[in-house]
Amino acid sequence: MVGIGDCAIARCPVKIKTSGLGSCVGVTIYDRHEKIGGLLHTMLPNIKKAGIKDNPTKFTDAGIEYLVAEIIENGGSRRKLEAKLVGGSSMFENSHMNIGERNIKSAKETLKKLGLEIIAEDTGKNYGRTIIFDTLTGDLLIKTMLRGDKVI
Amino acid sequence: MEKIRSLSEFEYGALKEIGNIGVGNSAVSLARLVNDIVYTRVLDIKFGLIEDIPKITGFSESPVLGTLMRIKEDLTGYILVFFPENGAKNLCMSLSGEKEKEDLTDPMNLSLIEEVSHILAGTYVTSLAKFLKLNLSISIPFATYDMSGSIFNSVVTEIGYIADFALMLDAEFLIKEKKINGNILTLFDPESLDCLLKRINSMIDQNP
Repeated sequence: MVGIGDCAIARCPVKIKTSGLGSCVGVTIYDRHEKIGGLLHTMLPNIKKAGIKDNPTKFTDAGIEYLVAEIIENGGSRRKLEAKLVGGSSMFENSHMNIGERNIKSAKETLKKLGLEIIAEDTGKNYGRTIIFDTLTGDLLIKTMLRGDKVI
Repeated sequence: MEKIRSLSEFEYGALKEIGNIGVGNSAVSLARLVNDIVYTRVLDIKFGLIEDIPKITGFSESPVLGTLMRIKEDLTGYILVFFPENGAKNLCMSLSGEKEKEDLTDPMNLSLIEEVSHILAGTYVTSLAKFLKLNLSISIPFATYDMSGSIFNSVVTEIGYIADFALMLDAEFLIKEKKINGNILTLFDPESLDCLLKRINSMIDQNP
């Protein structure tokens, strides 16, 4: 179970879950060969403007860098890592809150910079998501309230 | 740079009282709307790091109807009024007079709840403004129906963009006969908290 501004790394066959993604972004990084993966739940697009910087996993850019470094340290290989992206929705339509969008943009830029490929994503729109990440298969189960469940 | 601070016993009590005044006035409006007795209480006041607030409140995947409004002028922050699924359905039934279980995804019902929430938040903020002698207003309401965790998550994120800390006031109201309960959650940024506390202290100095 991963909370807001938090991340977790696990090896097969553990499952990692984070619930209630709104405008936050959930990022999973997975090494299919080693069957090791991590799940990150970030709040804000970038760390540069922040006053308090002691929690990198609160920020999408710093959080992804932190998670990738941790996975490599624990036996993952950088060339084999694959990423999935979930969340970043705007829950209140027309309310001019676009943090979700900026979170997704920041996540994509950071992953590109690190040379990681995004193999699947389910982002944007206006509803909340809960995700369960299976380190055995790398599959992400996405649960929503009104729009059913799906696996990416 | 913001200072990390903790609330004194006295400040905590004063904030709780302010919350009580606000929610008390909202309860009167709600009582008029549904024509029944409304019970209220302030559940919790917390001042802490933004990312810790969801852990404190323990929101989950249960469905709620949440309406968000922005607080503007002398204090800045967000007000979130939410009704759990059943409470929202009962509220719609009692306001529209229909006997059938209402569909909460229906735009008519969403807008009904939006209006009720706006009235509640309006009275809440007006009473705070009167009591504290401040200028306050609220934006138009935005309603959504989803997991409580996701709704709360997006509001916390939004305030996280401008502040690292927030003050949270969680108040509850309950209409026993009609089985409607709901919460008013107020999130102020730290500057507003300072403003609030200054105002409280100056009021005490004037009335020894």
